[in-house]
Amino acid sequence: MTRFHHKIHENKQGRDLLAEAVLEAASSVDNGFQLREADALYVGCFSSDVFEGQAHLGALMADYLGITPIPSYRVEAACASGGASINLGILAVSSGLFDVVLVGGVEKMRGLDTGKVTDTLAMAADVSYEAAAGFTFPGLYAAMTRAHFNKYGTNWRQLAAISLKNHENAKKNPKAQYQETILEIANKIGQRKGITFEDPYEFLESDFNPVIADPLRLFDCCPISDGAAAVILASEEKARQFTDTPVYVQSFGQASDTLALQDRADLTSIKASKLAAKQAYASAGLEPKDISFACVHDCFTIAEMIASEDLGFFSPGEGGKAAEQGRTGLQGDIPINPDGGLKAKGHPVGATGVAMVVEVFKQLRGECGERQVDDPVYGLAHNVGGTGATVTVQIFGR
Amino acid sequence: MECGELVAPPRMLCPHCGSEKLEPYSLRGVGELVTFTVVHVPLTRYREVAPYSAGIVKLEEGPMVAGFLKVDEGRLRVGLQVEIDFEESNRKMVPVFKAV
Repeated sequence: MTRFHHKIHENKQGRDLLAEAVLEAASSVDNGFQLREADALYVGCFSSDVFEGQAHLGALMADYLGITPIPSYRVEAACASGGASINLGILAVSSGLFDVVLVGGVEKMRGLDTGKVTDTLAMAADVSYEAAAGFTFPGLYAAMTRAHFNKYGTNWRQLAAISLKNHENAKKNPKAQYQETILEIANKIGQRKGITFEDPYEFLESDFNPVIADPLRLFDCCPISDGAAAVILASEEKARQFTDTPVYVQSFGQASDTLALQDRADLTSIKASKLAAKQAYASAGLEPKDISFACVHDCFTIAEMIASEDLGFFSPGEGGKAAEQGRTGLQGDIPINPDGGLKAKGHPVGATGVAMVVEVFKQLRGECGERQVDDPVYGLAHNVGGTGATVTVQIFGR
Repeated sequence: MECGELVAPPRMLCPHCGSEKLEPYSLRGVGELVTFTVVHVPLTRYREVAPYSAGIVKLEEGPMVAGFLKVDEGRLRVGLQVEIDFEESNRKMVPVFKAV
């Protein structure tokens, strides 16, 4: 994957970012891999159409990577575009019709200003009945936050704990957009005003952390990022030619739900997450307690908290407390987002679901250095589109 | 109307029973605030009214609807009784809820 970042990719187009990621994936293969060995290409991308004015991304990338005439698809499922691409790649190889597929995800968002990015992201919501009624993406997740607080007594400090943890993890991830803890960021900002922060909560409760959509503040929200990620999926036979230590897809799941938040039965949980996870656990013959670590969709801190409940790691309403107690930290019961998550690693929309699989792959092969989870057996990747209208889950193991 | 369930806004297929036979039904427009937020970073077309409140209301007949909230921030709470109105914005009619 490329580094995810809001500035350094200024002069690159989306096609360059994805090519960079694919080339890195190919050159990282232990026994060597030629791009031409791929039978098909799936590209997850939310909106190159609006961000760059460029559609037809599947064909563009097959061309740019020099691998025409293989069949090539652009897959869109809002923020789950990456995860959906992974699922389609898994289906393709499982079918037996393809031996090797390339799955990439990319988003080049920073060509537009924040206002236009906000507008574009709202396209993942129901444009006619949610966005028209004033809801932005942060607004929708803020509505879920208030419903969760109201039902379970969870609080903002518990959300902040998630943000703090993800920044600590991202500091150990050279591909992350932010490589500083929140306290380090706080003192960098504070220094210009002659203020020193000793407690990160002091910073997070200050005006330096403005409200985006109450009760979510800036540091509860993932940033705007440019970046790409890519993985190579292969049949077992082919994989063993490429490496002596492949990582296996144990299972996958996917579900859809109402697009608009107001049409959901429960605003404090994402039903499609529960369904996709149930499918994945069932077909792998596993339970939540078997998962060693998980990369979950923390587009907002509340989303990670709800995911930790929906995926069965904690009971409904307990996710906040668990985060506050450090149970989801690198040394905790169930490390969540060891790579820094969307919040600190960044969220180039279409790339995220694929980047999660890159992290799972590296963790299971023991290649994560300072952020390495201790002796992992099974890793789970969870990718959400919109407020939960699409959810993909994959479980991987050694 | 084959299954007797209501859906708002109108659709071509009933999400409960899949039927294509749907008939219009007038809702009173009164309901309870289920959740809300105050949006500080708005969509560009609503810049002039930011910060503004938006919420999801469970109408008394059942369906839930999203809309702007014309309620003083201090009065905003889950469970508040509200009533719908429609205002024109960008050549569209958007739902706006007021406290009853």
